[in-house]
Amino acid sequence: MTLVAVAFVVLLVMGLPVAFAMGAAGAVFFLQHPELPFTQPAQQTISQTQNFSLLAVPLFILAGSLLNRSGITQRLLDLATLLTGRMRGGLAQASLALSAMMGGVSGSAIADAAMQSRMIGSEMISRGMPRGFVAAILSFGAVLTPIIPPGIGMILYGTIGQVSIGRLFAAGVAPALILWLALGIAIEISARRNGWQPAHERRPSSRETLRAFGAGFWALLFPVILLLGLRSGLFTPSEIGAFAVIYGLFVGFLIYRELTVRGFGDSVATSLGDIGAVMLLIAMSAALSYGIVLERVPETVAGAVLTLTENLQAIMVLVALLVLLAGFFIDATVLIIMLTPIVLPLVRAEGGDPVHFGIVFIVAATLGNFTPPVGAAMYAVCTILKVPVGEYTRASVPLLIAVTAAVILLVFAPGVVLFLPNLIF
Amino acid sequence: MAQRLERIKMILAGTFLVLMVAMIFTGGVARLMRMPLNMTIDLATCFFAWATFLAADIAWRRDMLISIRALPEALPPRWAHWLGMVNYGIVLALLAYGIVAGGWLAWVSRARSFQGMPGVSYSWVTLSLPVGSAMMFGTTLEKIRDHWRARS
Repeated sequence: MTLVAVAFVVLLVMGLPVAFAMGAAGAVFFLQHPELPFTQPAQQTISQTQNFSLLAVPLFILAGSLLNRSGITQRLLDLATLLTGRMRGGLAQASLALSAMMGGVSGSAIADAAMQSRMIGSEMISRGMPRGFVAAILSFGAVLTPIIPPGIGMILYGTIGQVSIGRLFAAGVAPALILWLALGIAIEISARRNGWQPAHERRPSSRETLRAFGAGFWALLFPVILLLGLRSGLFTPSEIGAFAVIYGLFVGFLIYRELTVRGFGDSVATSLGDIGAVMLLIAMSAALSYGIVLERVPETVAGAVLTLTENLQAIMVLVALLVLLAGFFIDATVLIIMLTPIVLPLVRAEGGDPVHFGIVFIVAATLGNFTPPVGAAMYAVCTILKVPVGEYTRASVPLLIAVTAAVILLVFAPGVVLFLPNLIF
Repeated sequence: MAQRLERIKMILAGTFLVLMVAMIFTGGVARLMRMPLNMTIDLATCFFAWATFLAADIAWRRDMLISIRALPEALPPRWAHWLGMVNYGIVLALLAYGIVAGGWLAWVSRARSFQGMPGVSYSWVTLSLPVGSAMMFGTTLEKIRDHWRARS
Protein backbone atom coordinates (compact mmCIF):
# COMPACT_ATOMS: atom_id res chain seq x y z
CA MET A 1 0.00 0.00 0.00
CA THR A 2 2.97 2.33 0.60
CA LEU A 3 3.88 2.02 -3.08
CA VAL A 4 0.26 2.81 -4.01
CA ALA A 5 0.27 5.94 -1.83
CA VAL A 6 3.60 7.10 -3.26
CA ALA A 7 2.39 6.48 -6.82
CA PHE A 8 -0.79 8.45 -6.13
CA VAL A 9 1.09 11.47 -4.76
CA VAL A 10 3.67 11.43 -7.57
CA LEU A 11 0.94 11.25 -10.24
CA LEU A 12 -0.95 14.13 -8.58
CA VAL A 13 2.16 16.30 -8.53
CA MET A 14 2.81 15.42 -12.18
CA GLY A 15 -0.45 17.19 -12.96
CA LEU A 16 -2.43 14.11 -13.96
CA PRO A 17 -6.17 14.77 -13.41
CA VAL A 18 -7.06 13.49 -9.92
CA ALA A 19 -9.64 11.02 -11.25
CA PHE A 20 -7.04 9.33 -13.47
CA ALA A 21 -4.42 9.47 -10.71
CA MET A 22 -6.84 7.54 -8.48
CA GLY A 23 -7.44 5.01 -11.23
CA ALA A 24 -3.73 4.57 -11.84
CA ALA A 25 -3.01 4.19 -8.10
CA GLY A 26 -5.76 1.56 -7.98
CA ALA A 27 -4.05 -0.17 -10.91
CA VAL A 28 -0.75 -0.22 -8.98
CA PHE A 29 -2.56 -1.96 -6.11
CA PHE A 30 -4.01 -4.62 -8.40
CA LEU A 31 -0.66 -5.17 -10.13
CA GLN A 32 0.74 -6.04 -6.70
CA HIS A 33 -2.05 -8.58 -6.24
CA PRO A 34 -1.99 -10.88 -9.28
CA GLU A 35 -4.21 -13.32 -7.38
CA LEU A 36 -7.19 -10.98 -7.82
CA PRO A 37 -9.18 -11.27 -11.08
CA PHE A 38 -8.06 -8.77 -13.73
CA THR A 39 -11.63 -7.59 -14.30
CA GLN A 40 -12.08 -6.67 -10.61
CA PRO A 41 -11.16 -2.95 -10.98
CA ALA A 42 -13.55 -2.62 -13.93
CA GLN A 43 -16.26 -4.37 -11.93
CA GLN A 44 -15.67 -2.01 -8.98
CA THR A 45 -15.81 1.03 -11.27
CA ILE A 46 -19.15 0.01 -12.74
CA SER A 47 -20.62 -0.87 -9.36
CA GLN A 48 -20.17 2.76 -8.24
CA THR A 49 -22.70 3.78 -10.87
CA GLN A 50 -25.19 1.20 -9.62
CA ASN A 51 -25.50 2.85 -6.23
CA PHE A 52 -28.97 4.30 -5.85
CA SER A 53 -27.95 6.87 -3.21
CA LEU A 54 -25.24 8.32 -5.47
CA LEU A 55 -27.90 8.93 -8.09
CA ALA A 56 -28.80 11.99 -6.03
CA VAL A 57 -25.52 13.66 -7.03
CA PRO A 58 -26.27 14.28 -10.75
CA LEU A 59 -29.87 15.14 -9.92
CA PHE A 60 -28.99 17.87 -7.44
CA ILE A 61 -26.36 19.29 -9.82
CA LEU A 62 -28.98 19.54 -12.57
CA ALA A 63 -31.55 21.00 -10.17
CA GLY A 64 -29.13 23.70 -9.02
CA SER A 65 -28.35 24.69 -12.58
CA LEU A 66 -32.06 24.81 -13.48
CA LEU A 67 -33.08 26.85 -10.46
CA ASN A 68 -30.27 29.23 -11.29
CA ARG A 69 -31.78 29.83 -14.71
CA SER A 70 -35.32 29.99 -13.39
CA GLY A 71 -34.90 33.58 -12.24
CA ILE A 72 -34.58 32.68 -8.55
CA THR A 73 -31.02 33.96 -8.21
CA GLN A 74 -31.74 37.58 -9.16
CA ARG A 75 -34.72 37.67 -6.80
CA LEU A 76 -32.66 36.29 -3.94
CA LEU A 77 -29.96 38.87 -4.64
CA ASP A 78 -32.56 41.66 -4.44
CA LEU A 79 -33.77 40.25 -1.13
CA ALA A 80 -30.24 39.86 0.22
CA THR A 81 -29.30 43.44 -0.74
CA LEU A 82 -32.47 44.77 0.82
CA LEU A 83 -31.89 42.95 4.11
CA THR A 84 -28.25 43.92 4.49
CA GLY A 85 -28.28 47.29 2.74
CA ARG A 86 -27.98 49.28 5.96
CA MET A 87 -24.93 47.39 7.21
CA ARG A 88 -21.40 48.65 6.60
CA GLY A 89 -19.84 46.78 3.70
CA GLY A 90 -23.44 46.19 2.58
CA LEU A 91 -22.76 44.29 -0.60
CA ALA A 92 -20.23 42.02 1.12
CA GLN A 93 -22.87 41.17 3.72
CA ALA A 94 -25.41 40.76 0.93
CA SER A 95 -23.16 38.24 -0.79
CA LEU A 96 -23.03 36.21 2.44
CA ALA A 97 -26.81 36.29 2.77
CA LEU A 98 -27.12 35.28 -0.87
CA SER A 99 -24.78 32.32 -0.35
CA ALA A 100 -26.90 31.18 2.57
CA MET A 101 -30.11 31.46 0.59
CA MET A 102 -28.59 29.89 -2.50
CA GLY A 103 -27.48 27.04 -0.24
CA GLY A 104 -31.06 25.86 -0.14
CA VAL A 105 -31.11 25.64 -3.91
CA SER A 106 -27.66 24.58 -5.03
CA GLY A 107 -25.24 22.17 -3.44
CA SER A 108 -21.95 23.34 -4.85
CA ALA A 109 -19.65 25.98 -3.35
CA ILE A 110 -17.69 26.41 -6.57
CA ALA A 111 -20.76 27.09 -8.70
CA ASP A 112 -22.04 29.57 -6.11
CA ALA A 113 -18.75 31.48 -5.90
CA ALA A 114 -18.46 31.70 -9.69
CA MET A 115 -22.05 32.83 -10.11
CA GLN A 116 -21.82 35.53 -7.45
CA SER A 117 -18.58 36.89 -8.90
CA ARG A 118 -20.34 37.41 -12.20
CA MET A 119 -23.41 38.94 -10.58
CA ILE A 120 -22.02 41.36 -8.00
CA GLY A 121 -18.23 41.14 -8.09
CA SER A 122 -17.55 44.14 -10.28
CA GLU A 123 -20.19 46.24 -8.54
CA MET A 124 -18.52 45.59 -5.17
CA ILE A 125 -15.18 46.67 -6.61
CA SER A 126 -16.66 49.76 -8.21
CA ARG A 127 -18.00 50.78 -4.77
CA GLY A 128 -14.45 51.01 -3.51
CA MET A 129 -13.80 47.66 -1.81
CA PRO A 130 -10.29 46.31 -2.46
CA ARG A 131 -10.30 43.71 -5.24
CA GLY A 132 -8.55 41.05 -3.17
CA PHE A 133 -11.09 41.39 -0.37
CA VAL A 134 -14.03 41.19 -2.79
CA ALA A 135 -12.64 38.01 -4.31
CA ALA A 136 -11.95 36.52 -0.87
CA ILE A 137 -15.40 37.22 0.50
CA LEU A 138 -17.17 35.94 -2.62
CA SER A 139 -15.12 32.79 -2.42
CA PHE A 140 -15.24 32.11 1.36
CA GLY A 141 -18.93 33.06 1.60
CA ALA A 142 -19.68 30.07 -0.57
CA VAL A 143 -18.74 27.81 2.36
CA LEU A 144 -22.38 28.21 3.40
CA THR A 145 -23.77 26.73 0.18
CA PRO A 146 -22.85 23.06 0.59
CA ILE A 147 -23.70 23.05 4.31
CA ILE A 148 -27.26 24.27 3.97
CA PRO A 149 -29.34 21.39 2.55
CA PRO A 150 -28.93 20.05 -0.05
CA GLY A 151 -25.16 19.55 -0.35
CA ILE A 152 -23.28 17.24 -2.69
CA GLY A 153 -20.57 16.68 -0.05
CA MET A 154 -23.17 15.41 2.42
CA ILE A 155 -24.62 12.98 -0.11
CA LEU A 156 -21.13 11.61 -0.80
CA TYR A 157 -20.18 11.37 2.88
CA GLY A 158 -23.55 9.84 3.79
CA THR A 159 -23.38 7.25 1.03
CA ILE A 160 -19.77 6.23 1.60
CA GLY A 161 -20.01 6.22 5.40
CA GLN A 162 -23.56 4.85 5.58
CA VAL A 163 -24.81 7.84 7.55
CA SER A 164 -28.38 9.17 7.27
CA ILE A 165 -28.38 11.85 4.58
CA GLY A 166 -31.54 13.37 6.04
CA ARG A 167 -29.88 13.84 9.43
CA LEU A 168 -26.77 15.28 7.76
CA PHE A 169 -28.88 17.76 5.81
CA ALA A 170 -30.63 18.89 9.00
CA ALA A 171 -27.35 19.05 10.92
CA GLY A 172 -25.92 21.57 8.46
CA VAL A 173 -28.35 24.36 9.32
CA ALA A 174 -27.00 25.53 12.72
CA PRO A 175 -23.30 25.34 11.72
CA ALA A 176 -24.13 27.37 8.61
CA LEU A 177 -25.62 30.09 10.82
CA ILE A 178 -22.48 30.08 12.99
CA LEU A 179 -20.20 30.31 9.94
CA TRP A 180 -22.37 33.10 8.57
CA LEU A 181 -22.01 34.99 11.84
CA ALA A 182 -18.23 34.43 11.95
CA LEU A 183 -17.74 35.71 8.40
CA GLY A 184 -20.19 38.56 9.00
CA ILE A 185 -18.14 39.73 12.00
CA ALA A 186 -14.94 39.53 9.96
CA ILE A 187 -16.53 41.74 7.27
CA GLU A 188 -17.86 44.18 9.88
CA ILE A 189 -14.37 44.57 11.37
CA SER A 190 -12.84 45.22 7.94
CA ALA A 191 -15.67 47.63 7.11
CA ARG A 192 -15.11 49.67 10.28
CA ARG A 193 -11.36 49.79 9.74
CA ASN A 194 -11.71 50.95 6.16
CA GLY A 195 -14.72 53.19 6.62
CA TRP A 196 -16.92 51.47 4.03
CA GLN A 197 -20.38 52.91 3.71
CA PRO A 198 -23.69 51.01 3.64
CA ALA A 199 -25.15 50.25 0.21
CA HIS A 200 -28.53 51.83 1.03
CA GLU A 201 -29.06 55.22 2.64
CA ARG A 202 -32.42 54.53 4.19
CA ARG A 203 -34.08 51.61 5.85
CA PRO A 204 -36.38 49.65 3.48
CA SER A 205 -40.10 49.96 4.21
CA SER A 206 -41.83 46.88 5.55
CA ARG A 207 -43.76 46.76 2.29
CA GLU A 208 -40.55 46.58 0.24
CA THR A 209 -39.20 43.88 2.53
CA LEU A 210 -42.40 41.86 2.27
CA ARG A 211 -42.38 42.14 -1.50
CA ALA A 212 -38.76 40.97 -1.71
CA PHE A 213 -39.54 38.02 0.57
CA GLY A 214 -42.51 37.18 -1.63
CA ALA A 215 -40.32 37.18 -4.73
CA GLY A 216 -37.77 34.87 -3.11
CA PHE A 217 -40.46 32.68 -1.52
CA TRP A 218 -40.09 29.73 -3.89
CA ALA A 219 -36.36 29.51 -3.30
CA LEU A 220 -36.66 29.82 0.47
CA LEU A 221 -39.40 27.21 0.55
CA PHE A 222 -37.32 24.54 -1.18
CA PRO A 223 -34.96 23.45 1.65
CA VAL A 224 -37.97 23.28 3.97
CA ILE A 225 -39.86 20.99 1.59
CA LEU A 226 -36.71 18.93 1.17
CA LEU A 227 -36.24 18.35 4.90
CA LEU A 228 -39.93 17.66 5.41
CA GLY A 229 -39.95 15.20 2.51
CA LEU A 230 -37.02 13.29 3.99
CA ARG A 231 -38.32 13.53 7.54
CA SER A 232 -41.73 12.17 6.70
CA GLY A 233 -40.05 9.22 5.02
CA LEU A 234 -42.06 9.99 1.90
CA PHE A 235 -38.95 10.32 -0.25
CA THR A 236 -35.41 8.97 -0.39
CA PRO A 237 -32.59 11.48 -1.06
CA SER A 238 -32.46 10.41 -4.71
CA GLU A 239 -36.17 10.95 -5.11
CA ILE A 240 -35.80 14.38 -3.52
CA GLY A 241 -33.12 15.06 -6.14
CA ALA A 242 -35.55 14.19 -8.94
CA PHE A 243 -38.20 16.25 -7.19
CA ALA A 244 -35.77 19.19 -7.06
CA VAL A 245 -35.36 19.04 -10.83
CA ILE A 246 -39.15 19.01 -11.34
CA TYR A 247 -39.45 21.87 -8.82
CA GLY A 248 -36.90 23.88 -10.81
CA LEU A 249 -38.88 23.29 -14.01
CA PHE A 250 -42.12 24.24 -12.26
CA VAL A 251 -40.73 27.46 -10.81
CA GLY A 252 -38.87 28.38 -14.01
CA PHE A 253 -41.62 27.64 -16.52
CA LEU A 254 -44.79 28.37 -14.57
CA ILE A 255 -44.06 30.74 -11.68
CA TYR A 256 -41.30 33.11 -12.83
CA ARG A 257 -41.68 32.22 -16.53
CA GLU A 258 -38.05 32.99 -17.22
CA LEU A 259 -37.01 29.48 -18.22
CA THR A 260 -37.26 28.57 -21.89
CA VAL A 261 -36.92 25.21 -23.63
CA ARG A 262 -33.58 26.43 -24.91
CA GLY A 263 -32.54 27.47 -21.41
CA PHE A 264 -33.48 24.00 -20.18
CA GLY A 265 -31.28 22.42 -22.86
CA ASP A 266 -28.41 24.73 -21.94
CA SER A 267 -28.83 23.83 -18.28
CA VAL A 268 -28.62 20.12 -19.04
CA ALA A 269 -25.56 20.69 -21.26
CA THR A 270 -23.76 22.74 -18.58
CA SER A 271 -24.58 20.28 -15.82
CA LEU A 272 -23.21 17.36 -17.81
CA GLY A 273 -19.67 18.71 -17.49
CA ASP A 274 -19.97 19.09 -13.70
CA ILE A 275 -21.64 15.69 -13.37
CA GLY A 276 -18.96 14.01 -15.47
CA ALA A 277 -16.15 15.55 -13.42
CA VAL A 278 -17.61 14.46 -10.06
CA MET A 279 -18.86 11.05 -11.17
CA LEU A 280 -15.60 10.11 -12.89
CA LEU A 281 -13.83 10.84 -9.59
CA ILE A 282 -16.23 8.59 -7.72
CA ALA A 283 -16.09 5.81 -10.33
CA MET A 284 -12.29 5.93 -10.58
CA SER A 285 -11.85 5.87 -6.80
CA ALA A 286 -13.48 2.43 -6.64
CA ALA A 287 -10.43 0.27 -7.30
CA LEU A 288 -8.33 2.30 -4.87
CA SER A 289 -11.02 2.15 -2.16
CA TYR A 290 -11.19 -1.62 -2.62
CA GLY A 291 -7.46 -1.80 -1.92
CA ILE A 292 -7.73 0.52 1.07
CA VAL A 293 -10.32 -1.73 2.70
CA LEU A 294 -8.56 -4.97 1.76
CA GLU A 295 -5.27 -3.81 3.26
CA ARG A 296 -7.04 -2.58 6.40
CA VAL A 297 -5.70 0.96 6.02
CA PRO A 298 -8.42 2.50 8.25
CA GLU A 299 -7.37 0.20 11.10
CA THR A 300 -3.70 1.07 10.63
CA VAL A 301 -4.42 4.79 10.58
CA ALA A 302 -6.69 4.46 13.62
CA GLY A 303 -3.96 2.58 15.48
CA ALA A 304 -1.43 5.31 14.70
CA VAL A 305 -3.76 8.13 15.76
CA LEU A 306 -4.77 6.36 18.97
CA THR A 307 -1.15 6.18 20.07
CA LEU A 308 -1.18 9.99 20.01
CA THR A 309 -4.45 10.55 21.83
CA GLU A 310 -7.63 8.74 22.76
CA ASN A 311 -9.60 11.88 23.41
CA LEU A 312 -12.44 12.18 20.88
CA GLN A 313 -12.35 15.97 20.64
CA ALA A 314 -8.60 15.97 20.21
CA ILE A 315 -8.95 13.39 17.43
CA MET A 316 -11.62 15.48 15.71
CA VAL A 317 -9.52 18.66 15.91
CA LEU A 318 -6.54 16.70 14.59
CA VAL A 319 -8.55 15.29 11.69
CA ALA A 320 -10.08 18.71 10.92
CA LEU A 321 -6.65 20.36 10.85
CA LEU A 322 -5.22 17.57 8.70
CA VAL A 323 -8.13 17.88 6.27
CA LEU A 324 -7.65 21.65 6.24
CA LEU A 325 -3.97 21.18 5.42
CA ALA A 326 -4.69 18.55 2.76
CA GLY A 327 -7.29 20.96 1.39
CA PHE A 328 -4.53 23.37 0.42
CA PHE A 329 -3.60 20.83 -2.27
CA ILE A 330 -6.60 18.59 -2.83
CA ASP A 331 -10.17 19.37 -3.83
CA ALA A 332 -13.03 18.95 -1.32
CA THR A 333 -14.86 16.26 -3.29
CA VAL A 334 -11.68 14.21 -3.56
CA LEU A 335 -11.00 14.58 0.17
CA ILE A 336 -14.49 13.41 1.07
CA ILE A 337 -14.32 10.40 -1.27
CA MET A 338 -10.79 9.43 -0.16
CA LEU A 339 -10.86 10.11 3.56
CA THR A 340 -14.38 9.20 4.69
CA PRO A 341 -13.67 5.44 4.69
CA ILE A 342 -10.37 6.03 6.49
CA VAL A 343 -11.29 8.49 9.24
CA LEU A 344 -14.95 7.74 9.95
CA PRO A 345 -14.29 4.26 11.45
CA LEU A 346 -11.80 5.90 13.82
CA VAL A 347 -14.34 8.43 15.05
CA ARG A 348 -17.01 5.75 15.34
CA ALA A 349 -14.69 3.51 17.36
CA GLU A 350 -14.08 6.36 19.79
CA GLY A 351 -17.81 6.83 20.26
CA GLY A 352 -18.12 9.96 18.13
CA ASP A 353 -21.38 10.81 16.39
CA PRO A 354 -21.01 10.25 12.61
CA VAL A 355 -23.36 13.15 11.83
CA HIS A 356 -21.51 15.59 14.10
CA PHE A 357 -18.15 14.49 12.73
CA GLY A 358 -19.50 14.58 9.19
CA ILE A 359 -20.37 18.26 9.43
CA VAL A 360 -16.98 19.20 10.88
CA PHE A 361 -15.24 17.10 8.24
CA ILE A 362 -17.29 18.48 5.33
CA VAL A 363 -16.79 22.11 6.41
CA ALA A 364 -13.04 21.55 6.81
CA ALA A 365 -12.84 19.83 3.42
CA THR A 366 -14.93 22.55 1.74
CA LEU A 367 -12.46 25.18 2.92
CA GLY A 368 -9.97 23.56 0.57
CA ASN A 369 -11.95 25.10 -2.30
CA PHE A 370 -11.02 28.57 -1.09
CA THR A 371 -7.37 28.23 -0.17
CA PRO A 372 -4.35 28.58 -2.47
CA PRO A 373 -2.51 27.01 -4.23
CA VAL A 374 -5.31 24.73 -5.48
CA GLY A 375 -8.75 26.05 -4.63
CA ALA A 376 -11.35 25.57 -7.33
CA ALA A 377 -13.66 28.32 -6.03
CA MET A 378 -10.65 30.63 -5.55
CA TYR A 379 -9.56 30.07 -9.15
CA ALA A 380 -13.04 30.68 -10.47
CA VAL A 381 -13.42 33.95 -8.55
CA CYS A 382 -9.91 35.23 -9.24
CA THR A 383 -10.24 34.45 -12.95
CA ILE A 384 -13.62 36.14 -13.32
CA LEU A 385 -12.61 39.24 -11.35
CA LYS A 386 -9.01 39.27 -12.64
CA VAL A 387 -7.52 39.34 -9.15
CA PRO A 388 -3.96 38.03 -8.65
CA VAL A 389 -3.81 35.03 -6.30
CA GLY A 390 -1.32 36.83 -4.02
CA GLU A 391 -3.74 39.71 -3.43
CA TYR A 392 -6.53 37.23 -2.80
CA THR A 393 -4.42 35.27 -0.32
CA ARG A 394 -3.51 38.32 1.79
CA ALA A 395 -7.14 39.42 1.95
CA SER A 396 -8.41 35.98 2.87
CA VAL A 397 -6.34 35.54 6.05
CA PRO A 398 -8.93 37.09 8.44
CA LEU A 399 -11.70 35.06 6.80
CA LEU A 400 -9.72 31.83 7.11
CA ILE A 401 -9.13 32.59 10.80
CA ALA A 402 -12.83 33.29 11.35
CA VAL A 403 -13.92 30.09 9.65
CA THR A 404 -11.29 27.90 11.33
CA ALA A 405 -12.38 29.26 14.72
CA ALA A 406 -15.97 28.36 13.85
CA VAL A 407 -14.93 24.82 12.87
CA ILE A 408 -13.13 24.31 16.18
CA LEU A 409 -16.20 25.62 18.02
CA LEU A 410 -18.31 23.02 16.18
CA VAL A 411 -16.00 20.24 17.37
CA PHE A 412 -16.61 21.15 20.99
CA ALA A 413 -20.32 21.80 20.63
CA PRO A 414 -21.92 18.62 19.25
CA GLY A 415 -25.21 19.77 20.78
CA VAL A 416 -25.35 22.74 18.41
CA VAL A 417 -24.83 20.53 15.38
CA LEU A 418 -27.14 17.73 16.50
CA PHE A 419 -29.98 19.85 17.88
CA LEU A 420 -31.99 20.09 14.67
CA PRO A 421 -31.48 16.51 13.43
CA ASN A 422 -32.41 15.20 16.89
CA LEU A 423 -35.45 17.45 16.93
CA ILE A 424 -36.90 16.46 13.59
CA PHE A 425 -35.58 12.94 12.97
CA MET B 1 -18.31 15.61 -38.67
CA ALA B 2 -16.38 15.66 -35.40
CA GLN B 3 -18.60 18.45 -34.10
CA ARG B 4 -21.68 16.52 -35.04
CA LEU B 5 -20.45 13.48 -33.17
CA GLU B 6 -19.88 15.66 -30.10
CA ARG B 7 -23.40 16.98 -30.35
CA ILE B 8 -24.80 13.47 -30.57
CA LYS B 9 -22.82 12.41 -27.49
CA MET B 10 -24.11 15.41 -25.57
CA ILE B 11 -27.71 14.78 -26.57
CA LEU B 12 -27.37 11.11 -25.59
CA ALA B 13 -25.89 11.92 -22.19
CA GLY B 14 -28.52 14.62 -21.61
CA THR B 15 -31.28 12.20 -22.56
CA PHE B 16 -30.02 9.63 -20.06
CA LEU B 17 -29.95 12.33 -17.39
CA VAL B 18 -33.51 13.47 -18.11
CA LEU B 19 -34.70 9.85 -18.24
CA MET B 20 -33.15 9.28 -14.79
CA VAL B 21 -35.17 12.19 -13.42
CA ALA B 22 -38.33 10.93 -15.09
CA MET B 23 -37.87 7.36 -13.82
CA ILE B 24 -37.10 8.29 -10.24
CA PHE B 25 -39.85 10.85 -10.03
CA THR B 26 -42.39 8.45 -11.50
CA GLY B 27 -41.23 5.73 -9.13
CA GLY B 28 -41.59 8.04 -6.11
CA VAL B 29 -45.04 9.23 -7.11
CA ALA B 30 -46.19 5.69 -7.90
CA ARG B 31 -45.09 4.49 -4.48
CA LEU B 32 -46.94 7.37 -2.82
CA MET B 33 -50.04 6.25 -4.67
CA ARG B 34 -49.45 2.73 -3.34
CA MET B 35 -48.65 1.36 -6.78
CA PRO B 36 -44.90 0.75 -6.46
CA LEU B 37 -43.00 0.27 -9.73
CA ASN B 38 -39.79 -1.66 -9.17
CA MET B 39 -38.71 -1.21 -12.72
CA THR B 40 -38.18 2.56 -12.46
CA ILE B 41 -35.25 2.28 -10.02
CA ASP B 42 -33.56 -0.44 -12.08
CA LEU B 43 -33.88 1.53 -15.28
CA ALA B 44 -32.67 4.70 -13.54
CA THR B 45 -29.48 2.99 -12.31
CA CYS B 46 -28.86 1.58 -15.80
CA PHE B 47 -29.19 5.12 -17.26
CA PHE B 48 -26.98 6.37 -14.41
CA ALA B 49 -24.06 4.21 -15.60
CA TRP B 50 -24.40 5.52 -19.15
CA ALA B 51 -24.87 9.13 -18.09
CA THR B 52 -21.78 8.86 -15.85
CA PHE B 53 -19.37 7.60 -18.49
CA LEU B 54 -20.72 9.76 -21.33
CA ALA B 55 -20.63 12.86 -19.08
CA ALA B 56 -17.09 11.92 -18.02
CA ASP B 57 -16.03 12.20 -21.65
CA ILE B 58 -17.73 15.60 -21.91
CA ALA B 59 -15.95 16.81 -18.76
CA TRP B 60 -12.60 15.49 -20.03
CA ARG B 61 -13.11 17.23 -23.37
CA ARG B 62 -13.99 20.51 -21.64
CA ASP B 63 -10.90 20.23 -19.39
CA MET B 64 -13.11 20.18 -16.33
CA LEU B 65 -11.29 17.38 -14.50
CA ILE B 66 -9.49 18.67 -11.43
CA SER B 67 -5.71 18.48 -11.44
CA ILE B 68 -2.80 20.06 -9.58
CA ARG B 69 -1.04 22.36 -12.05
CA ALA B 70 1.71 23.76 -9.83
CA LEU B 71 4.56 21.57 -11.13
CA PRO B 72 3.69 21.64 -14.86
CA GLU B 73 3.38 25.43 -14.68
CA ALA B 74 6.70 25.84 -12.88
CA LEU B 75 8.67 23.67 -15.33
CA PRO B 76 10.44 25.04 -18.42
CA PRO B 77 8.10 24.66 -21.45
CA ARG B 78 10.09 21.77 -22.98
CA TRP B 79 9.90 19.72 -19.80
CA ALA B 80 6.25 20.60 -19.26
CA HIS B 81 5.55 19.43 -22.80
CA TRP B 82 7.07 16.00 -22.20
CA LEU B 83 5.47 15.68 -18.78
CA GLY B 84 2.14 16.33 -20.50
CA MET B 85 2.88 13.56 -22.99
CA VAL B 86 3.70 11.13 -20.15
CA ASN B 87 0.40 12.03 -18.44
CA TYR B 88 -1.57 11.44 -21.62
CA GLY B 89 0.22 8.11 -22.02
CA ILE B 90 -0.91 7.03 -18.54
CA VAL B 91 -4.47 8.10 -19.33
CA LEU B 92 -4.43 6.10 -22.57
CA ALA B 93 -3.19 2.99 -20.76
CA LEU B 94 -5.95 3.28 -18.13
CA LEU B 95 -8.64 3.79 -20.74
CA ALA B 96 -7.33 0.88 -22.80
CA TYR B 97 -7.77 -1.26 -19.70
CA GLY B 98 -11.34 0.08 -19.35
CA ILE B 99 -12.11 -0.89 -22.93
CA VAL B 100 -10.63 -4.40 -22.68
CA ALA B 101 -11.72 -5.37 -19.14
CA GLY B 102 -15.11 -3.64 -19.50
CA GLY B 103 -15.64 -5.27 -22.89
CA TRP B 104 -14.76 -8.66 -21.43
CA LEU B 105 -17.17 -8.14 -18.51
CA ALA B 106 -19.94 -7.15 -20.92
CA TRP B 107 -19.24 -10.30 -22.95
CA VAL B 108 -19.28 -12.71 -20.00
CA SER B 109 -22.32 -11.10 -18.37
CA ARG B 110 -24.46 -11.27 -21.51
CA ALA B 111 -26.41 -14.24 -20.16
CA ARG B 112 -26.95 -12.61 -16.76
CA SER B 113 -30.29 -10.84 -16.59
CA PHE B 114 -30.35 -7.27 -15.26
CA GLN B 115 -32.09 -7.10 -11.85
CA GLY B 116 -33.90 -10.30 -12.70
CA MET B 117 -35.71 -8.73 -15.67
CA PRO B 118 -36.20 -11.48 -18.22
CA GLY B 119 -34.82 -10.59 -21.63
CA VAL B 120 -32.76 -7.66 -20.35
CA SER B 121 -29.06 -8.52 -20.15
CA TYR B 122 -26.75 -7.06 -17.49
CA SER B 123 -24.38 -6.35 -20.39
CA TRP B 124 -26.46 -3.26 -21.11
CA VAL B 125 -25.07 -1.80 -17.89
CA THR B 126 -21.49 -3.11 -18.20
CA LEU B 127 -21.20 -1.90 -21.79
CA SER B 128 -21.29 1.70 -20.52
CA LEU B 129 -17.71 1.37 -19.21
CA PRO B 130 -15.97 0.16 -22.42
CA VAL B 131 -18.03 2.54 -24.57
CA GLY B 132 -17.31 5.50 -22.29
CA SER B 133 -13.63 4.52 -22.09
CA ALA B 134 -13.45 4.31 -25.89
CA MET B 135 -14.92 7.81 -26.21
CA MET B 136 -12.45 9.18 -23.68
CA PHE B 137 -9.67 7.34 -25.51
CA GLY B 138 -10.63 9.21 -28.68
CA THR B 139 -10.77 12.50 -26.79
CA THR B 140 -7.31 11.81 -25.33
CA LEU B 141 -5.88 11.15 -28.81
CA GLU B 142 -7.23 14.53 -29.95
CA LYS B 143 -5.72 16.18 -26.88
CA ILE B 144 -2.36 14.58 -27.65
CA ARG B 145 -2.55 15.88 -31.22
CA ASP B 146 -3.30 19.44 -30.01
CA HIS B 147 -0.66 19.19 -27.31
CA TRP B 148 1.93 18.08 -29.87
CA ARG B 149 1.02 20.88 -32.27
CA ALA B 150 1.19 23.51 -29.53
CA ARG B 151 4.79 22.47 -28.74
CA SER B 152 6.45 25.02 -31.04
